[in-house]
Amino acid sequence: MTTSKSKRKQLGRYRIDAELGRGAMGVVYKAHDPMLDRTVALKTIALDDAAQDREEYQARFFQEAKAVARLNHPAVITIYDFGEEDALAYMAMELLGGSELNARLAQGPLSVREAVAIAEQVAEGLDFAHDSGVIHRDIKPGNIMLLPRGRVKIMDFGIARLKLSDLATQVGTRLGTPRYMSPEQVGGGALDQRTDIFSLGIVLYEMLTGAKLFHGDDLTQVMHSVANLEPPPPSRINPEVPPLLDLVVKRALEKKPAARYANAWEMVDDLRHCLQELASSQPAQQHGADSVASANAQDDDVGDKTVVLNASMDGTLTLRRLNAQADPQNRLALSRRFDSAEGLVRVQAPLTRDRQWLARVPRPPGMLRRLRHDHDLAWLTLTIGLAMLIAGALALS
Amino acid sequence: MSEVQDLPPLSSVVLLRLRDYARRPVAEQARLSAQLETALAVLLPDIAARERLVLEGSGVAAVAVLGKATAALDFAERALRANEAGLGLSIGIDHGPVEVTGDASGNALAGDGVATAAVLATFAAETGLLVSKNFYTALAQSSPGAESVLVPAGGFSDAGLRTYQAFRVDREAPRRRRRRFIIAAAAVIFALSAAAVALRVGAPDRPRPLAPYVDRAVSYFGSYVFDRLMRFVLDHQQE
Repeated sequence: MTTSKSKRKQLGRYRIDAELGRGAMGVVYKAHDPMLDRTVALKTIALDDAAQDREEYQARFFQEAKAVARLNHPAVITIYDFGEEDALAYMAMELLGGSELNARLAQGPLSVREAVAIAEQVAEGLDFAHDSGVIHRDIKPGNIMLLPRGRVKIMDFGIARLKLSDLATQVGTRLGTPRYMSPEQVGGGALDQRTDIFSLGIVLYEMLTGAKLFHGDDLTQVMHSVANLEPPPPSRINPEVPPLLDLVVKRALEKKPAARYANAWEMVDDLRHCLQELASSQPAQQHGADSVASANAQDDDVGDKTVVLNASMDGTLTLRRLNAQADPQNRLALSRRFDSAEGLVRVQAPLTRDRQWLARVPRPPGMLRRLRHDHDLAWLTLTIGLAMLIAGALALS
Repeated sequence: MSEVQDLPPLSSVVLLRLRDYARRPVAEQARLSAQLETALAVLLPDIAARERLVLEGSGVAAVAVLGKATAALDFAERALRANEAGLGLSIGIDHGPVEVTGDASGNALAGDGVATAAVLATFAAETGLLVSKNFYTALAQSSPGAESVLVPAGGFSDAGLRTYQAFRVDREAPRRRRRRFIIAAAAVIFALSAAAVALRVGAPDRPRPLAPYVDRAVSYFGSYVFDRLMRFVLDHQQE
């Protein structure tokens, strides 16, 4: 995008007041709609220069924009208008007063209730969109806006499809979105609503633990992690996470779409169960989940947790490397409920004799040992021996 | 450092897998996980604390029994009986190398022992319990004869085309084996006796090197039996 374009004062019927931010695809402006006399967010997307690509790009953009514009849900950003001018496609949408989830995550991990409340709203919005035939394809913290009074909005619906063609150019560069892709997305497979569920699972995991789930220096590493890494349950990093929530995250992050939640509503249902469980276990903190914005202000509390969880993050990274090397089925965590300390000492630091005993390779026992222990075999052998003796005596006397 | 010190320890890994766990609603998963934990809490005290490591995963629990294959099989069979309450367990057992891998989020157990038990548990949907050839051998070594409860269940191939020779538990198998032994012993006795009699009848001029010993033994045994018999008769008459 040229400098002259970035300094434009008008786009379509909208008067540009200020620049709100820049992304890989374009710029977001604060703009004024003189016709309806309201302030909007104007998102611009640069169209490809090549005529053929541009036509296809443009067609897809308008198709997606029409589909998204039909969505009317409290958790989905409202699209007012869209159009094209000077090789620049734009979308006018409601201007939200809040902060993106990634900015919130940068301050430190969220409380469990806060994270579940956000995920539940996002899942609800996704379910509505999926029912309307729209898949987001790019659920990530940067596309989730936290609003006052604990409300949440999903942004950039359908835009991801336009970005997919750019993936090929991203090899070797710093990665953003691919960290939140589903295995079928990185594998180039057919996508359905379950791809958004996987991405939301990653977001929920990161909200609960404060750790980045899939990451790497290049696209290949990230794709390998997404496709193969079995993450440890969030409760291993954040002990406050209840077992039920571990299961929800695990279900959302299943590598095979068939094993994942079939639709976002199932996830909403389970997240609501989690919220109820959290509410019953911590009635004194009930107000916390209802106020994402007020939780943002609890800097001291968040700061303390950040220290603890950052320490855990290193552990997660180590675990991730181990997991990447080994078949996930080849490895099981030690139970936290049942004590294995004594057995662990025997395996990790055995006495020499114990080590020899434990390391011996099983072999079939010898005949004498077998006769000593196997009574049936001993009786058979004895009987046959006696029979031979008697028969010999009969024959040779 | 001796060669043995480089070898990883071997243990009998009993892996309990909740069938169709991934497909169930999360609330049911939570309920089943809690039931599995309860079952473990009931069953585990029978294995000494120093002889076991308890592992957990998603819809999976495992116990690595150190050194005692019989204890592992007993545990698995009792877990299978607990399964009759409707837990829906598939159990796989292998005796193989294991290694502790540790990190900040906790210790874990890895190795072929865990992997093979996991694969067998997935194949055990119908039989409930499958054990590997390695475990069969370990059981035979640990307690010769105890392996007679294991009968071949066929060969299985996993997604990576690795093949596994599996065995299932059949508590009737030792009884059938004993019956086979009795029949075999009777057949051998009959065959040897028949051969000896045939030899005696068919070859009167055969060499008889044992004749003096046998005659002496028979006469001694005969007189002993005659004495005992006479004494019994006399005692009986006096009464």
